[in-house]
Amino acid sequence: MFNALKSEFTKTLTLRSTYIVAGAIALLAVLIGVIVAVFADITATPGVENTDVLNSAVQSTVSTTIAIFAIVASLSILNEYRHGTMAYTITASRSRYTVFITKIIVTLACGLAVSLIASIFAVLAATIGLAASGGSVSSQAFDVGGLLLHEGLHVSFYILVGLFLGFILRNIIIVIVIIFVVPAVENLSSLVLKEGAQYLPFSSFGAVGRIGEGAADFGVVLVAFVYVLALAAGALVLFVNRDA
Amino acid sequence: MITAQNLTKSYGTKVVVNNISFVVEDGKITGFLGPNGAGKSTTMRAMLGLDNALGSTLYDGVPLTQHESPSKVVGILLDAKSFHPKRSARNHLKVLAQASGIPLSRVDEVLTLVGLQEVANKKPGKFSLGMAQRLGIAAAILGQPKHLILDEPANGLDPEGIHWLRDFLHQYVSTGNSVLVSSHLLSEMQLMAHNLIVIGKGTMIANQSMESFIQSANTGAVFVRTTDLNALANHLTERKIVWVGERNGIKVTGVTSDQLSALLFELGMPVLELAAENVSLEDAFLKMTANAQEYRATPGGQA
Repeated sequence: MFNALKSEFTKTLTLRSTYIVAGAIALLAVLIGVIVAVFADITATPGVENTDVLNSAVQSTVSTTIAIFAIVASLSILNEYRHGTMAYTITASRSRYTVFITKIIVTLACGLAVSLIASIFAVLAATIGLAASGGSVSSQAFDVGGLLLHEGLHVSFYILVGLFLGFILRNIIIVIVIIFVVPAVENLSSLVLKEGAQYLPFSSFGAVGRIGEGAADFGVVLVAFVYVLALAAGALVLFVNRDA
Repeated sequence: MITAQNLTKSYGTKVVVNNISFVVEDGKITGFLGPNGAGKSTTMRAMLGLDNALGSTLYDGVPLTQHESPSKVVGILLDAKSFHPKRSARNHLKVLAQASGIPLSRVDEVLTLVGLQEVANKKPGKFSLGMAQRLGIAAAILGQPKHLILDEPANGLDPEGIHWLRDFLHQYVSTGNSVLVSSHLLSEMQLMAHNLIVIGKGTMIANQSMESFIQSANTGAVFVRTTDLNALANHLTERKIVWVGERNGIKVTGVTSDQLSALLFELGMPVLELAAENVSLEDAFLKMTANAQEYRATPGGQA
């Protein structure tokens, strides 16, 4: 397992595209951080300052870049099939289960690391933007623990969904369509389903970022977990039993 | 020793590998032949557990997944282009080495061995087929495995590369290792392999030594040319010896070249040409697989 992990990390770190995507996400985070800070209505209510700018910078960064994480996670498995390296990956390991678990660990670790770095960039950019627009950084209610938990889970869910869809579908076009189109369809369906729409897959993943903000959210988060577990089970069964 | 037992693989109702069993002996190169679509690659993938098939394959009596480090038991080359085109050759091998706990020093050793040290840091996406094959061979031998399974390793190699591959494989098996290698380069296979497995339409056609396979297609005919073919033909008919006119001579079966030469001497006929039929692997292969061609081209010139 340790050898497989080392190899998977090397796979990720020896491709220039890894750094290009990570750099692009960091750049996007800086842009989002500045925009959020500059355009934040700091004094919407006279005498009351908007203290949520830094939190918003992180949340906006995550929600804007999250689809990229899902697609890159999917590519981590699909590229192996596309370039024929899956044969090496499987024969080097004694079990396909090990390959499956290794992929999850490495994809999650790399994705979360990039997401964390991007969030830090967003906060730094927002801090500078805030100072430039006359806001007070010290008055910001920056909930580090809450953000790490909520946004960390949010990103993790998307990474896992992208990865499992890759295992199941083996087609990046279909994965991209699902990741971009299904959330839009879910949003539209809320016109009909009203409150029930929050239990749809991608809507429920979004609720993960709001754990603890209301008792009603807990049920939605539970549904999100069930979706991910179902995808994981489907992905594992197909990966183990299908031709490589 | 690799022992494949009752390998069967189907896609829907189409059986592409049908109950094939064979042994790849230690110390020998076993050639794996068959027409296009015969099921060679599928058989190799099934042997490695890449395709889910019925039957089993044992490596020295043990399934591959039960070996401590499978890459040190069997090295594979299934597709020359099995690499990420943007990851350098050295990093590609580094990934494979790490996955199997192989020391990284081995990466440069195999790159030197296959002659790719000059392009080790280049991205293999633009490698020629021959260079890609060399990288594939480097990957296969990275873990110094006891067994090699190579699918068309000579494709795209230049003459020097083919010569190197032949020598390398002969040396590889000389220490008790085994090699299963498929190829459509039959003249090369004839020089390379000790044993042959031939399949067609997913079923076993032959599983024997190279020599006996070629001999099995040999009719034992002798070609003879002399000054009076009609007289010779009459004498052969009188002696009930089977013959057939061919080009500007006669092809005789049922007698050896020694016997035929003695007969010509007895008849006082000069021998202008006398040659025992020399069957090649290609002749034998085409004869054996005549009814097992999945895809058959239109005869030449009928475009």
